[in-house]
Amino acid sequence: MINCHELNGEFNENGIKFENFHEIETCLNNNFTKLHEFPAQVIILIINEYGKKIARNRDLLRMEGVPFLCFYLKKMNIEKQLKLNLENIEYLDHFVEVEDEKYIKAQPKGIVCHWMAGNVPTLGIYSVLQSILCKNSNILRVSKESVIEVYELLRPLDNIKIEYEGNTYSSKIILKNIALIYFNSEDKDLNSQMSLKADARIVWGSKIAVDSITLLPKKTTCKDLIFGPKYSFAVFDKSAIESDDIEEYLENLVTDIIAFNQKGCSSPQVLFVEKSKLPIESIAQMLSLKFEKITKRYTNLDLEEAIVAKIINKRGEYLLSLNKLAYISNGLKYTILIDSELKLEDAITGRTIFIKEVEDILAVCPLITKNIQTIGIASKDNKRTLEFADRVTTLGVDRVVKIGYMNFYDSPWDGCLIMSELVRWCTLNIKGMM
Amino acid sequence: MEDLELIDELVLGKQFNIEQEKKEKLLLSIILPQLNCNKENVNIKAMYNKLGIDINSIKTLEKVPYIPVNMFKCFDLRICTIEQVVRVLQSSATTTGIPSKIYLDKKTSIRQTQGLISTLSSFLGNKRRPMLIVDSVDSNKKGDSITARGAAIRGISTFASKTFYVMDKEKEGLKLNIDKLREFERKYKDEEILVYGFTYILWSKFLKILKHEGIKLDIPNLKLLHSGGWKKLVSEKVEKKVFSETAAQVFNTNATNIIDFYGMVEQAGVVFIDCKYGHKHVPNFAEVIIRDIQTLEEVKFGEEGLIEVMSILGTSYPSQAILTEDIGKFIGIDDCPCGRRGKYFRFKSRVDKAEIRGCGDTFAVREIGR
Repeated sequence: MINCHELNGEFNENGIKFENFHEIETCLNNNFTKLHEFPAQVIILIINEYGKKIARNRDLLRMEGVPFLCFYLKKMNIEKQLKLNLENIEYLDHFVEVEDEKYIKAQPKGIVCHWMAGNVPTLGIYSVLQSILCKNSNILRVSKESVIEVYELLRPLDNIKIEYEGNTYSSKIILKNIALIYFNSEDKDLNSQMSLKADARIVWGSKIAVDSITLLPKKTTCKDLIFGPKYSFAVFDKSAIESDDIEEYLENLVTDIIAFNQKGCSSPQVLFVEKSKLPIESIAQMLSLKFEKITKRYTNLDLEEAIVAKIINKRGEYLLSLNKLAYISNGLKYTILIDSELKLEDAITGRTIFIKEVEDILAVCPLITKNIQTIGIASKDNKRTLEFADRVTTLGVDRVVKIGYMNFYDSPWDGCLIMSELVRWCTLNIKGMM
Repeated sequence: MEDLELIDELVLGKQFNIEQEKKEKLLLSIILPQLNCNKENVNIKAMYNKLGIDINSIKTLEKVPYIPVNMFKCFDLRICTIEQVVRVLQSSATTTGIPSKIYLDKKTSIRQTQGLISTLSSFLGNKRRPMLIVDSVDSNKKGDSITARGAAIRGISTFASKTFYVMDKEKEGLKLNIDKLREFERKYKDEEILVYGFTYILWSKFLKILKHEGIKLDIPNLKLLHSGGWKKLVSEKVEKKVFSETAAQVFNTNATNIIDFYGMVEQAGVVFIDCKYGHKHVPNFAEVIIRDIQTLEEVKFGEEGLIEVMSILGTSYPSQAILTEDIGKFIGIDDCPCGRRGKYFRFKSRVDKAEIRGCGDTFAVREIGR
């Protein structure tokens, strides 16, 4: 059974039950043309207002990742993202002449189906709004864990009116092109039905989730954007460690670790520190102090039993081992584990970071695969950072960002310019016709 | 130095009769010197050093450093010399495939048996009776190494006048020998008897078979003790109530005679048996701390957390404080209507190992991604 929490611009907290996608598809098809008539600038302005509404809501602001979402939704940023993805925003509204009597327009794909992971509720908003900017209709299937948060985040999109070039536009049309739904992820029939409706499928989640969804039947014209499981880590080079800013870098590392319970694909799991004057034990002690300071602001730990068991066992292993070290809090506020094995450790999460010392930050290169998404870097040497980024991105890494920015959603993501993939690039070539 | 007289008094004496405040002081006075001995093991010494443990400054049992139960699978946590080891207990290794190894010297082994007898006496009395063991004789064979099943059988057998193994070993499995069972029934159906089996074996190889075959027994005067293996039963969706009622039907007895007890191979000798109010009580020589899963501090009454089992029985391995992967609910102290003193709790479940998965659910080297 599908539980639909928003359809045709109407919100329903408890959800309306549907046995299939028939009504949902009909609603979306009925409203698709109206959205198509919206100038892109109108959508940008509505999203800008939407961001402002969220920013005024203290309850929403307390939700993880929402302050950054508000920044992301600003007109200036959305325009920047669109330009990066499409080069010219005009492509969304008109055929734009690119050569002599050759025109290009970015038309919507149609219905975009989103399967969202449960660990980052704001991701649902990023995913669906990028699709809306491309004037697509959307079925947003969220997980049980995040349905309430996504529902609450979407509500401020209602009741926004924009005046643009003498016309009034309502955000209702945008909402009418979004169906917010939940159904059991193991319901193969509903997953298949949803998949067959899709002109584009966006899948965010674990390997099990993406594997099962990619195997579902789909239209031959359907475009897949798969954001599967990824692993991230951090590196501090010698110049950063020996600089006056080391405390700030460590503080930023802690914020990257704490965000999204360290379960995001961009959350750091290991910190590689380049050998420097500062012994690794001192770095760990400094990091402990940063954790102590910052975790006072983030008291809601709320770890699952399985994570608790993993942390306790890892702590035990590192405390009892003769060649490993552990710096741990009272309770499970944080766990810092030190050893010398050059490897990427299985992600424990729950504010658990492994620290390993390397002779050179480039020593991490043999560890890189295409499963590595983000490397958070601290360095005072731009030339070296560029060299490092070139090496690791060649090997598979998608993002190298300064420490503290690892979890900030950005474009491209996972090596993909999402909005450029959510349009059909259509041409009109009439040279010599008239 | 160990206070041998006090240890004997706590292990051999009547159980469940010391009020909590006094008990904590007594246990602490025994455990702190034992912690000093633990430092003979290099791994434990390393752990104490890393944690900055000053044994003399420990004022409460809650502050005694605990060892996560899985560490017995990863490290040789032996305190005595290898020559002093008389037996190695091994867990069933169901979750990780690696068994825990618990090294017992003679003193520990004897104390564990004594502790078990003292505890069981409080529930079974001292009378010996015929005992039906739902297992094969091989599970308790003599040797240097013994499984959790073997250890439990040995302990409970001390309450037996005679023992009867009712299962035959067949290849790698167990098969019920109906003839032996019927023979036992004929001989002892009017007597008070004991039955013991591992919970999962009892269910899958005995009760389910008898029920399926429509075989009913008539041995009403029994006490059926069972322990271990709930993990597999939970996965088969068999609840404790269903188990007890099925067993009662098969034996033609009352479900109150079916007694589940909680224990683990890493704390052999320490068992927690349900009193008639459904509470698990802690014997005088042991302690339980239910720790909050976020703060790791002891929970308040009515709250749930990880069960830590403490014991003074071990001198050959660090038994003083072992943090399990089981969840319990702290019920109260000193005031159970059954009259037993000390802390009492309920076992709730194994730790739920299922995690909420997301886009970070990966391990970089698992896939060949180049």
